[in-house]
Amino acid sequence: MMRPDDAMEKVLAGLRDVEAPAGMERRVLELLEGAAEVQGKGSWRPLWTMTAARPGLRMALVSGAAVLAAVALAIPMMHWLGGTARVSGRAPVANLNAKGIDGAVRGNGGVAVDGPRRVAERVSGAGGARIVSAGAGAEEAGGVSDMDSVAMSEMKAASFPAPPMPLTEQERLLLRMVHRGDQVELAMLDPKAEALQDAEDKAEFQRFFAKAPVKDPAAEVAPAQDAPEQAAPSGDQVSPGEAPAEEPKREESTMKQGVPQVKTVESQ
Amino acid sequence: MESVEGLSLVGTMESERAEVDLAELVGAYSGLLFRVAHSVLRSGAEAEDVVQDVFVRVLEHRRSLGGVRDMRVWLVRIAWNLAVDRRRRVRVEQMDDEFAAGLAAAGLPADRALDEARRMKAVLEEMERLPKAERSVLLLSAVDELGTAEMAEVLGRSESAVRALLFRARTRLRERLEMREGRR
Repeated sequence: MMRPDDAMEKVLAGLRDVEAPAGMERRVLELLEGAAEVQGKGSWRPLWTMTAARPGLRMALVSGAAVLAAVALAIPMMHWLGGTARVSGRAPVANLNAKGIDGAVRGNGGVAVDGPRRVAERVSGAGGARIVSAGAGAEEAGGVSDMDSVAMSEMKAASFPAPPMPLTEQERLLLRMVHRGDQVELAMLDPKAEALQDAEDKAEFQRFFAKAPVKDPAAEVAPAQDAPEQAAPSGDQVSPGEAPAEEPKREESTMKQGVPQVKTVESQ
Repeated sequence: MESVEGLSLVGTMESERAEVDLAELVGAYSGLLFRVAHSVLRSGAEAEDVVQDVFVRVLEHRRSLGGVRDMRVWLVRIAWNLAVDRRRRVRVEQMDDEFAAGLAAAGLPADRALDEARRMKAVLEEMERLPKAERSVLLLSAVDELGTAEMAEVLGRSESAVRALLFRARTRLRERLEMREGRR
């Protein structure tokens, strides 16, 4: 029976006495050689550490850096001077006439065939307008002669209008409402028109119901008196006193049912 | 100009000296680093991978090795951290089974070897259940090649703390093993 202390010591001794597998050092060294080769190919050392022991190399590097700096300063200066000179003597691109364009685009497939020409094209995004400058034709037009001037002309050219923005939700709703042509909805857009429409509606209502009471007594009194007389010969047992009792019902029904009912009463 | 040149020459000599011989380092420390990694991972293959990673790191930082005070502690610290990081990605339980079986199989009958392997496995399980600081000190002390000061430097603690942690770890482990035996 092994005591806990013994088991613990045995495990710790097992951890202590473990030995590295055979050939591990060789494998590690091989791996390091491979890694060193990869690093050697891709590695670089700072210039100041390389030139520390070589004053000649250092002088060469300093002079090279000075030349690079001078060139870097000179190129933008030349561009600036040349650009201002050309821009001052050049007509705007909008003045490119049809002669220049014709000189560039003619013959088979629209390609210039006579003489060396340079064609620079720009297709604008919005309108699909195309500016074409051709060597000889463009020089006739305004002196556009090389790619720099083309770039300058493009930079200075009038900008094309941006495409229209899409409609908002409210604008689409308004558009739908207007194109439907509903008068009431159209009137809702204008308070004056709405008030006018209301007034017309009210007037029509008043006109309609104002006419009916005026017409009814004149039109209904005679038939109401005639009715019992016409009904009596038909043999119905109707007393003369009952006829007036039916008249108010007829009037009510005519008031409720509107004009067609009144006309039927009149026709009867 | 002369003084500047002399200074730069001294600088280059120091940088040349800083480029240590990697083959010497591998020969001197690979065994120790393997045991350190093995105490955490309990797998020979995984521990060898850690050793290789350690020396690749050394190769990458070989220009700054001049500032390393104690190469041995520095390497052990790298190996320890890499092993702990790798441990999160491997299943240590399976490796503990193999390691415990290997500890118990020395010339014993099969039934006793099985019983002893089970006890070894129980010890390893209880070691894993210890608090992290105590477990780390116990495993580093098991390597038996590192002094208290070196363990303290590797783990970033004081020497007294390392001693106290080691004492507590052993006591706690013993108690837990006894409790476990009592339950059986």
